[in-house]
Amino acid sequence: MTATSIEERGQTTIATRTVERIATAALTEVDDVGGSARRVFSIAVGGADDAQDAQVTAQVQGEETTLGVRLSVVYPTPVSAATEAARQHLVRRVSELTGLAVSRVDITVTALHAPTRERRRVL
Amino acid sequence: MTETDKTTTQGSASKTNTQASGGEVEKSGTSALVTKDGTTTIADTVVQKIAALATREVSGVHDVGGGAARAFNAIRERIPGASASSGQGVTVEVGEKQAAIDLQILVEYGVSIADLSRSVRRNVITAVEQMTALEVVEVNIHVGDVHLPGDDTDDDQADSSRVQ
Repeated sequence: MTATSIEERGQTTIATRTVERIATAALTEVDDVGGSARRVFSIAVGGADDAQDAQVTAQVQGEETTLGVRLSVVYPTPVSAATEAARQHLVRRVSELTGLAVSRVDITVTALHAPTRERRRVL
Repeated sequence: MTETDKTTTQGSASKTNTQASGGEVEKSGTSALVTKDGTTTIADTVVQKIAALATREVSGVHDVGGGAARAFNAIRERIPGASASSGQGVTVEVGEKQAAIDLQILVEYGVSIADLSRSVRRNVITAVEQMTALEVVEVNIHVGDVHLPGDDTDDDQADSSRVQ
């Protein structure tokens, strides 16, 4: 009796936490950016390096989401190049995985750190 | 058609018919559950379990249920004799001929949620409609969390360590 096709009956909602965790995981796929220290009441706790995850906050409104990201950049990399790569990757990956359009990605670079992960010596 | 039929029967004061139909929307609609020889009612838990199992079948769904429901289930699984309830995280509304389903799911990282929700919806609707003959009007899906490859708990290792 219903005219709508079987796959379009009902809505899908995605929790903000899901979007944030997807964005955090997507950021680990980007080279030369690392995590940021966790902040508890505006006080940084812990160090900022690759071992930490980047801090992502998401705001989902309907079919759109905006992201706020706090991350660190590996030292010799140009900051603007690294953040641009991170932004592009986030926009592509988050919209691909969640189906939400990413309208805005605000990035705060909280630290520059030396490369902690060892480079592969052999290929 | 049914609307006009009903109003005319009401208008022609055939009281027995209108009293029997009560507050129902349509009496003459074709359904395998409501027949003139009697009705078949299906409990909420039936639909709930079918929906939960059909959801789990879809690859990309890591688990069904919200945080609290899953934590409670994890404890129940460990109690001897008790089994995890398969209907957690599924809320259903079952009427005489129709059902509406709300799902809370946890997805795997790496799958497209839009595609996944379509296949979950297809699988759940097909399974419920086939088994219960209820018409599923909607399946609302809430993706509560994402499961990352890194945050595997010990239960996966416990399963695999048995045989090398």
